[in-house]
Formats: sequence, structure tokens, C-alpha cells
Amino acid sequence: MGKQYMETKNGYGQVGGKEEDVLIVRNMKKYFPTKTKGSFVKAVDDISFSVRFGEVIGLVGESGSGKSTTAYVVMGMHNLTAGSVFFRGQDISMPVSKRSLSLKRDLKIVFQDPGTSLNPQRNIGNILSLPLKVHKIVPQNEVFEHAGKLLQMVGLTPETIYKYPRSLGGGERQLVAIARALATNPTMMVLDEPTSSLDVSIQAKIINTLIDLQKQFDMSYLFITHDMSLMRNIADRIAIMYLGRIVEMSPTKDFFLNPQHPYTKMLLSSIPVVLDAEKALKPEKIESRGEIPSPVNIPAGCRFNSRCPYAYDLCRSSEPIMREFLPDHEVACHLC
Amino acid sequence: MKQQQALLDIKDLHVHFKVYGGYARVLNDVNLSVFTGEKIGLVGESGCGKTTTVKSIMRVLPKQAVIAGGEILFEGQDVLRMKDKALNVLRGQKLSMIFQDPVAALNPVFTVGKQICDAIRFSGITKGNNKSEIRKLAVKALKECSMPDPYRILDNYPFQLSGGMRQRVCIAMALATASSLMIADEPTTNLDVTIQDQVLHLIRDLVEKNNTALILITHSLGVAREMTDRIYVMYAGNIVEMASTEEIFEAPYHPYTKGLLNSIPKLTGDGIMAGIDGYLPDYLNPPLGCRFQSRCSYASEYCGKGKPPFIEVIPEHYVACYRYSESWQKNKLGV
Repeated sequence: MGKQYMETKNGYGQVGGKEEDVLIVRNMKKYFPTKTKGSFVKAVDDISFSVRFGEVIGLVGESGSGKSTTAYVVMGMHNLTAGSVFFRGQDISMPVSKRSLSLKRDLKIVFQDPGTSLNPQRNIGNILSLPLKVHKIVPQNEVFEHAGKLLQMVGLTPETIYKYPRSLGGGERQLVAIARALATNPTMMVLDEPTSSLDVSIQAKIINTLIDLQKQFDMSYLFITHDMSLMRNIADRIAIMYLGRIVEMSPTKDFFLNPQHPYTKMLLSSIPVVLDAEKALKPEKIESRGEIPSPVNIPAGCRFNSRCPYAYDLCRSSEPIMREFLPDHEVACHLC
Repeated sequence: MKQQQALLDIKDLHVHFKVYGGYARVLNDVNLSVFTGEKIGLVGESGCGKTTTVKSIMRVLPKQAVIAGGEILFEGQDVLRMKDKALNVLRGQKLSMIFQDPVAALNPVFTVGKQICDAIRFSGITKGNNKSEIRKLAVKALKECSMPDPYRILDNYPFQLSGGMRQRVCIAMALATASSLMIADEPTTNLDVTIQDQVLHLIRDLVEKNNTALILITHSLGVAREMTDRIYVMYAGNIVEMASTEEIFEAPYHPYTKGLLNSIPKLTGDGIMAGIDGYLPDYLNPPLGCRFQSRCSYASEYCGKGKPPFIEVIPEHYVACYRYSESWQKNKLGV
């Protein structure tokens, strides 16, 4: 894999990044205007995190917490309102139309619904050969052969190139979408809920494929999901988002054994589990109450104070900032 | 099985769908019974016929569906042969259903109050058409669903409510007409895990309080474990295993149930298991015999011969698999 940006470290100096970081997000904000003048949907409101080389980061949160927006901003599909994104030392805070071809090759995304992300009028061979042609990965005459190889990598037969998306099952379609992202040999993949529309028996297969590929090609994943049990098994670090903010971020094991933020505890205690051993791992039950407030009118103080059983005066007036609770374990809570 | 008469008894139900190219034989000999006050889980992956089963109980199947055989007895009466009038009374006063998608279940152009009141009026539980009485019942139902400010909610349109609130409205609607069997078709699939927790609690508290029987359809085994007393596992239009909830999770017998349980990512973090290879069979030409055989690692020539018998492996634990039949066991012992 080429390391063409590694030398340009000027961007890293500005944001205090480390050499092992492949993606750095600093104070990123994304606001969408609403019909009323001067009010905004604050989908992502000042988040910072980094992804290291060869690491799987799980970005977890309820719907409406800004997970997907984060992914789309990283991919350049939305313009960011404020802040910056660095990828391999290079500032990439620009829309996708202004990004270089080599950057697009190195940073790929897999969407949630493979039914709509694959063109129904093209067969799989055509779908897979497009990135190969655009990025000139292989000579023109070997494109279809290479597409077959990509399909084998994700566990499908090479003959699949003659099929159309409609004749494939949901799981197979998602594997094709993964093969397409893999075609350009990326350094990092953003996975936006790749298995949430699939059944568990199919999900297991796809997750195994993804993890094998990640190890084989030493890729980094930004894995977006709402399934905490899944993250427990595949992520190296987990970040929990709530209403446009990251409220807790820590290495996976620490995260589940020693959760700090009340929201994390509420989430963990709400997961329905199938084993007694799992039940023992859940933190003390925090009764889930209320719903996620509208991102247009974010509550003053801590965003979680309306649902938090431990909230006190300070939580309603001042917003907690992320601070290191343990090495590598950050929490945004007045109580921790 | 218990000796008392079942509240709902589905016997040998076959449902086919008329599609281009023939009949899709979806439900294949489904047997299911529910007793008063019991909480039943119907578990399986998408496309396995869970919803078709409950829709045939309510008789709200789409036009293409053909009931090819079997009977559904509710309190001894056959629902499938019931006249429309009797059916309306049954739907209004005895059965209620919560659908998966509260957005689709509520009419966007009427207020929530109008819809709940209509449900109460048509159920016939109030005599005549006393508006204030009906409204009182609607408010009571919303209050029971721990909705804040029920009077305001009544005048809201569905789009003004969040997903969790809409699902509560659907539950209120189902509850307003005191029923003896509630069918919940994936009531929390579209909801976030914290809201799911609230809604499940609500459903459980309410059915326990009113001694209502519950059929909970879900694809999440975790949800089924928290909510039910007894679980039916379905695969490709067949009931493949039935046992009490603890039994299913402690000692599953059917290869499909085992595979399904293995596929679920666990909080213990032991990694992801292999999952189950392959896909659901084609309903137009379902394989002869066991429908799981193409994905089953234990399949043998036996499995293609005929529909596997529903065997009681241990008391009250039934499995539809040849592996547990006497002849298979004899073979294995080296005859």
C-alpha cells in the first residue's frame, strides 16, 4: 500500500495528531438549516476523535445521534460547518468533488442498504469494474477477471459477475458492496450500519468476512452501528454518541467492564441478551426514561440531563467537556 | 401439554400465496396453541412466515393468500369459517394487534384521538355512541401506556409524535378494547434500544395486569427471552422447535435454533461465530422433507424423505428433526 501522504505531517502538527493516526477529526460540526431562520439541526456538534492505523473504531448511538452524519462528513458527502478532518496527514475538510482521485481511492464507504446502493440496471461485473477502471487498478482487459477475484475475496463465486443485484439475497448484495469498496485497496473503510438490515445468521457471515479482510489488508474501519453486542466482539475502541456529541470513548474491554457515563450504563442495561453470562456483565439497571431530545433545541448544560437519573444543578447549567478518566478512556460527565 | 382448553389453537395451517409462476407454499403445517394469560414468542428470521401466521389469525391476509388447509380455533370457534359480523366482534373485543411499523399503522390525516376513539366505537364495547364516554376510555388507555399529557396527545397528528410515542399510541389502541389475546408483531424493531426497553416493559406490565395472552413476534432472541414463557421457533413456514423459554436458551435441540443462537453477537466478547450458510429455500419449489436440510450440517438422506415428525424429546420440548427420531437413533447406534 502506498504511503504517499505519510510524509506531509504539517497538518498533524496543528492538531496534535500522532503518527499512528490515520484519521483525525477535530472539533467537527455539521449543522443543517431548518425552515425557521436562524435555527439549525445540530446533527454533529463539536466532536473530536482519531482512528489509528489498523484499528476498528465502533461509533455507537441511537438514531438521531449524528453517527451517519459523521460518516458522511468524513467521506465529503456533506460540507462541514466547522472544524477539520485529517486523513494520513492531509487536510480533507473539503467536499468530495474537490478531493483528489488518490484520496478517494484510499477512503471508502459501505452503506447500510445494499438494495439501494447498487445500481439495479448494471450487473455485478459492471458494478465492480467501474472503480477498477476509474482508478486504473488493473489493465483494461483484465478488469472482469479481477472483479471475479474480488468476489472470491468476500466469499462469493466469480460467476456472480453475470448476475444482477435483484437476483441476489440481501447478504450477498452487501458482500458485493464490500467487494466494490475493496476494489481500490483502501487504507480505511467507513461502514455505515452494514448489517443492520440483515438477519443474524447472515450478519455473522458478513462480519467474519469484514474482520478477515481487515486483518489481511491491515485496514482501519470506522464502524457505525447501534448494536453494542456486535461492537463488543469486533471493535478495538468504542465511541458513544448522544445528540451530536461523543459522551464516552474507550478501549472495548474497558468500555464494557467499566462504563462511566450514565447514558452508556443505560444503553448497556437495556440490551436484551440471550445468555446468563451476558446478564452478569450488564451494569446495574438504569431505568430507561424519556426520549432523545430534538437536535434543534438541545437542552442547556449536559445534553443528557433530561434523561439522567443522577442529574443535579451543575448538569443543567454547564456542559461537561471530554476528559481523560483513565488512560485512553475519555468521558464527558460532571459526575465522573 | 396442559389439559385445559387452549385460548387459541392453530391446527395444521397451510397458507399459500398465488404468485407469478404458481403457488408459493409459505406456511406448511403450522401448529400453535396459546393458553389464557400466557406469553408466547414466535421467533425466526425474516421471510419465515411469522407475520403470515398471525395475519391469518386476524384474517387480514393479502388477497393473493390462499388458506389451503387447517383450522384456527379461538375459544373453540373456527376463525377461518366465521361470518363477517362475528369476526368483527372477535377482532373488536377479543383480539388486538400491534404492528411493526407505527408510521404505517396510523393514518396520517386523522388525529390520534379520532383513531383511538374509532377503534373503541367499532369494537362495540361501549353501548351506543356516547362520545364523552369513548373519549374517557381513550384517555384511560393512553394513561395506562404512561403517555404524558394524554388530553393533548389526543389532538395530535401522528407526525407530531416520535417513534416511541407512536408505538405507545398503537399499544393504547390495542388495549383500549379490553382483549384476551394481544398479538405484537415486532413491536420494537424500529425503535432504539433504550426506547425498546421502555416499550417492552410497558407491554409486559399491561398484559400481566389484565391477564391477557400475548403472542410476541420477534427476530431478536434476546427480546423473546425477556418477554415470554414459551417460544416457538419458525423456519421457512414450519415450526421447528417449541419449548419453554429457559429450555430453548439452555438446551436447544434443533440445528437451526442452535445456529441462530450461535450467530448472535454476545456481550461476553468471545468473537463472532460462523453463522448459518446459505439462504431460505424457494417457496415455489420447497425441498421435499425438511426445509432446513440444505443449510444443515447434520443433513442426511433421511431428511429429504418427508416432513420431519414433531418429536417430544423431553417433556414439553418438541423438535421437528429426524435426528431425534427413534429410527435415526437406532441407526446411529450402529445397526
